[in-house]
Amino acid sequence: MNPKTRPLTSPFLESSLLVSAHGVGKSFGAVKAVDQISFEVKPQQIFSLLGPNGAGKTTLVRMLIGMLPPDEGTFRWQNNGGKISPLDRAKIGYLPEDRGLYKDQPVTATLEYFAALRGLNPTESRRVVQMWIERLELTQYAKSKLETLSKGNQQKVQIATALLHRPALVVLDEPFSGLDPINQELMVNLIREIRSEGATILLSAHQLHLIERLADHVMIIAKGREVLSGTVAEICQGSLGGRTLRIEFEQPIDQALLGNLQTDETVRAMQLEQPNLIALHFANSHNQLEWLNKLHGWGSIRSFQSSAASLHEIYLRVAAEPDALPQRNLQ
Amino acid sequence: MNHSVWIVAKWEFFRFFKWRDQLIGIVVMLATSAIAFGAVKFARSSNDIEVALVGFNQPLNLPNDSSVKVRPSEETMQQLRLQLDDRSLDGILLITENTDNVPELVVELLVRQPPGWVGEIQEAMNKLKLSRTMAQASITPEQLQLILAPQTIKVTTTMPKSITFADRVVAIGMGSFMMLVSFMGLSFFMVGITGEKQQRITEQIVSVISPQAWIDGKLIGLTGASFASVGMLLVGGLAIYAIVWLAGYAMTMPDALSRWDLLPLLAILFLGGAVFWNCFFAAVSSIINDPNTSAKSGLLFVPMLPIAAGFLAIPQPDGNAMRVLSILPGTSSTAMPIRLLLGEVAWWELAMCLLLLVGGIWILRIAAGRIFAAGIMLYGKEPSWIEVLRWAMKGDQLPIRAPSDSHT
Repeated sequence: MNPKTRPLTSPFLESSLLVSAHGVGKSFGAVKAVDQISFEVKPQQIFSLLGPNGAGKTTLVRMLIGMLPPDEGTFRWQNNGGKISPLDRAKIGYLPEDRGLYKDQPVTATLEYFAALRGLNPTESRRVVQMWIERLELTQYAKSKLETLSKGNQQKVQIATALLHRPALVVLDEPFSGLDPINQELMVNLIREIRSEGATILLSAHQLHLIERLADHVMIIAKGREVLSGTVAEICQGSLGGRTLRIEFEQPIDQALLGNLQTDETVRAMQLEQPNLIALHFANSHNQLEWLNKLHGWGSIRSFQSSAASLHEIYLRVAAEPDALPQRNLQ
Repeated sequence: MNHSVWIVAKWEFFRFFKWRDQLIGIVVMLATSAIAFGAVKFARSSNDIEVALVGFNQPLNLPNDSSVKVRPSEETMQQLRLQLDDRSLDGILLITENTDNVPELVVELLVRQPPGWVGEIQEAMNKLKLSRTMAQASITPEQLQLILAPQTIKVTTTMPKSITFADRVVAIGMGSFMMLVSFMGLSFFMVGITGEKQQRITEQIVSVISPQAWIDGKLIGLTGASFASVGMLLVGGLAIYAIVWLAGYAMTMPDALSRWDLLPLLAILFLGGAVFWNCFFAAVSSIINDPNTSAKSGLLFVPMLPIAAGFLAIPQPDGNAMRVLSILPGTSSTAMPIRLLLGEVAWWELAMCLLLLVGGIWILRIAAGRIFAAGIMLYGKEPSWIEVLRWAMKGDQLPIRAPSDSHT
């Protein structure tokens, strides 16, 4: 877990496969959980799947790993030579959102059990388990029962079960949930390490500040549909991104002035963040100066700041109104 | 069979059957029995009960190994009371003769607290009363024996073998064995499936192997653990018997226990019955979300009724009802072994019983696999019976065989 003490280049994971989904859909009764979703995850890419609760992320992930059959569409691998084949689930490592392990069993025994289920022979299993125990700094807990470990260490064991068999594609559903900031940081480092060792990663999470740092590509889904897809930079600088102008006054803003303010089409949204702080969200940077001049008459300005919209702001916007989005893919 | 199944079976077996705990259990059982027998022996050997007999000169006819010693006494009642109070005497037996119309004895026992040995005094006094009455009526012991002897009925059986009481005890033991195995299976599957659901283990496992491979492994492992646990209880029981035997209380072995020829058949019937009902336990456990609040938990005890129905074969092993129950899977695991031991089973009955048992297991295994596959992924709510029936008939969302199984 510690990049300073652990080797980043390890032969345990390797991938040259492109993973793709083509028009995948799934319904549960009358509810369309996943609706015609397509995407591509390039080799050694960290692909992040974002969306509010109930958006269809877990259903999509469960279909990808073979736990649920899709009603429509397909998942495929594509190797270096361009050869297309059905998804080989034995090459996928999966950390589910709903996760837990045998709390009354020792760490080593649990990992060896999963290694055996993954088809490793006993000798290989012992070697790989030992390697992961050392690498995840669990040596002192190797013989301890899982129930005696901290939540962070239990999470390490859990993720090890998904990596024992050298998967080409690692699917992590909410890997940061329940972890404190220190353990979240350890998880970020581990994800980067296994990517640098050759694994392709599909990640679903709600910690957008971590996703901004980690993800090469982001896809936001809502109500089972893809609503936005691209790199973090593309999304933040795209038409849904724009800029935010924050103006802080010396005195609280007069409510009457606020009520009479007429916005034009360049202002996408306006928000009173504090009694003396107003935020204006613009589709682009063109009208910011004009608005700064307009609001200067409201009172003495203490400070102002213009910044690009964060992934968090964009996520809130698209997740709230997925049907109002004009563009789906920024690629 | 898929290699994953055996990995799961081994894992589940050793999760629930722990050699060390079982051996410790047997050692504790043996130690407790040895201490109990030792204590009884010690109490019998060291604690003679001393009773003073007042007003009567004839000896009382107490059993030879009785711990009660009755000695005629010439001391005064005051002296004897003092001895009773300072515990150098356990009781004073006062016998006087009532010489009214019908001569009879008036017996009074004076003790500090009601004693546990009063039965021995009672027995001795009964014998004394009987011999006195016989003497008064001029009845000889031979005449008395003739009076008291019941009318004998000679029972002649047309079957080549006759059922003894000991054979019935063995039959009850076999039925009880099956009940115990079923109870063990029930508890193991509750912990092994509902418990895993609660600990959120299922999704991680199902991403690696198919639900059918998982349930098959559990069926083998947990059925094995049930038999091994009950087997260890039997070993403990035999060890206790050995202690009883060493203490000089040996019993003769019933003839039924010498029917070694039936052993393979009995093993198949017990194993088949356990697997049959364990399929049911697996399916029901997978649809229970919380055993403390679920109305479906009670369903787990339903199999106990058909299993117990086999006991009805003991008084009439070859009755019409028992012939049917011994063929049907679910009841055959208790009814057929009892019939094999106590009754006459036609070859076609046995063949049909085995055929239906194997077929029943196969169908129930597939249905349980389908219910299990859908049920284990359902957190926080329980399916309706219609949903469960739909899963059992057609399966639902999860594939029965995951592609990852092919690696083995």
